[in-house]
This record gives sequence, C-alpha cells and structure tokens, in this order.
Amino acid sequence: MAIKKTSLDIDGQDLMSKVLLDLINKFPGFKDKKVEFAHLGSEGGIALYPSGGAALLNSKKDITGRVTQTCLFPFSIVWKAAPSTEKMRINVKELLDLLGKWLEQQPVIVNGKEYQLKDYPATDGSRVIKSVVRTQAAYLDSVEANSIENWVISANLHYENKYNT
Amino acid sequence: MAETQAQAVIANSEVIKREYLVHYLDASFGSGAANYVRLGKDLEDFAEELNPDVETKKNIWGEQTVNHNGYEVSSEVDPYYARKGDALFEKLEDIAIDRKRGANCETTMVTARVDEDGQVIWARREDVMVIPKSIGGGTDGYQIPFGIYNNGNRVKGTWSTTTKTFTPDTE
Repeated sequence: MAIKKTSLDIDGQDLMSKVLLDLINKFPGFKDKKVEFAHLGSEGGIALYPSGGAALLNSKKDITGRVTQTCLFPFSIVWKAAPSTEKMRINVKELLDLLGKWLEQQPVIVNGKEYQLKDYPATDGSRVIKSVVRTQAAYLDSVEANSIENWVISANLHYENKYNT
Repeated sequence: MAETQAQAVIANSEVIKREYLVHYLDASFGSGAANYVRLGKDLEDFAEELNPDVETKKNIWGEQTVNHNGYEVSSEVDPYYARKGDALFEKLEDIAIDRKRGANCETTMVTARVDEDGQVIWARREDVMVIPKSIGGGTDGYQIPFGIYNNGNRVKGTWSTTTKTFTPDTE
C-alpha cells in the first residue's frame, strides 16, 4: 500500500514557533509569567512545544501563478507546577483553558476584566495566521515523583502561505 | 544525436504555463485614463468561452457542410474577493449596489500572451460589458463575482506589462 508522504513547511514552522511564543506571552492571564520555548525548569514553568512540524494540507495555484498553501501547525503548552491545594490545581487548569479560548479569539474574563484577541499578529508578509483551534481541553498529562504536575493544552494553528511562482 | 533531438521534441512540447496568458480589465470604465487591473488573483480557472455558433448539414449525398456564424464570447470571474485599494472592486461595488446598467457597465479588456522572459507575443483589446452576478458571499470574504460579455471592436496591438498600456496597431 502506498504511503502518502506529508509535506512540511519548514520555514513556516520556525516562524510560527516564534510568532506564537510572542503571542502567548501577551496573554493577559500570564502578566507575571514567562512562557519559554520547549524548555521547562526542574521545579516549574510554562513552555510551548511544537508537535511534529507545520504540515502542508493543501496547495492551490491561481491563473496568475500565485500559490496559496494551507498549513497546520500543531502545538502544546505545558505548565509544570506543584499546586499544594485543589484550588491551585483548578487555577492552573482554568488558566490554560482560558489561554486556549483567548487564542481562539473568544472573549475571556481575566481578573474581572474582559479581553479579546482581535487580530492575530503579522508574520513575514507571505504567511498569515487564520485561526487557532483547541484540539483538547487542559488536562493533567503526568505527575512526577516529587508531586510536580504537568498540565497540557493542545491546539492547531492554521495559516496560509502565499507566494508567486 | 537522436537523444538531443528527442530532448528538443520534449522541450518543445512542454505545456505552456497558464500564467503566460494574461487578462486585464480597465477599471476606469471610460472615466479618465485607462487603469488596467490584472484578473486572476484567487482564480484557479478562467476561460473566455468562445461559444461558437455552428450549424452542420448533411446533403443527400452524405456530404457534410458547416456553417459558422461567429462567436458569442463571454467569461466569468468567480470567485472575486473585494480587496482594499482595488479600483476594480470599487467600480463593481458601485454597479452592484445601485443595480447600474448600460454604459455604466462598459469597459475594455486586454488579453495577451507572454513568454518566459515576460516578452509579449500577442495582444488584443476588445470592448466588454462587466455585469456583477452577486454581492456578498460566504465567511471567507466579501465577494462580487461577475460576468464579462464581449461587445465587439476587437483590435490587435501591443501591450506593455510594465506601464499597463495597450497601443493599437496602425493600419
């Protein structure tokens, strides 16, 4: 049986990682936190992890020779924490869910104030972010030996890449 | 020698890329200097349908004769997404929202073929009527798809892709 090869947008993957990391660090619920890229401290932290690269889903060419690629960039955000109470644990999960909702451009309430992401940030000019869609609500992925918990939220970032041939 | 000749045959029979047949519509619609806008952004398919008027007859000897009475040429631009700063969109919107007709829909279209180096091989200009088909569309963008109906006065000339001007040949 022939195996269909998945094409990747390598440049887009690198770019979206940077753009998404900047965007997540602008989340109103993370004012006193810094999200890092693919790195978590031993005691705690929040990090963005791309999951497998930016896949090319579709490619169309118009009669002027301009190509529009539809791409998918799956990612996860991991929050490593040591919540000592149930309330703290719920807070971690709810804040991650709020982040996911905010990335989906839905209105969210943080500390009693409403926020909504109006526009996705510009990138390199040829790539445009179209949407972010959560694939899973925040969940407890693992508990380490010293009761440190890893909470995860996963989503897909959809973007288009246009260029002339 | 045979391999080179075969390669030459293959090279000469390569499919010509679609982007080498270019279409421009004058967005001024007769008011002021011509402002040619290239058609094709977002269009995966565009063709001038020639709609030939052909009548075939067979006589009692079994001989077929063909009567060709010309063409009724038209084309469709669908989808057409409204873009900020696009002169053609502004004109189409003006026609569509006030349901304008007649001379308000008249303009010219230039069709040309270019080679790989951008040199124009041939160019023709013809009077056309541009008539919107609908206004609105789905959530992916504001659309005004339209039909182009050729209206005669077809002339041969030269086209400049840099200045976007058409110069009719002198007889």
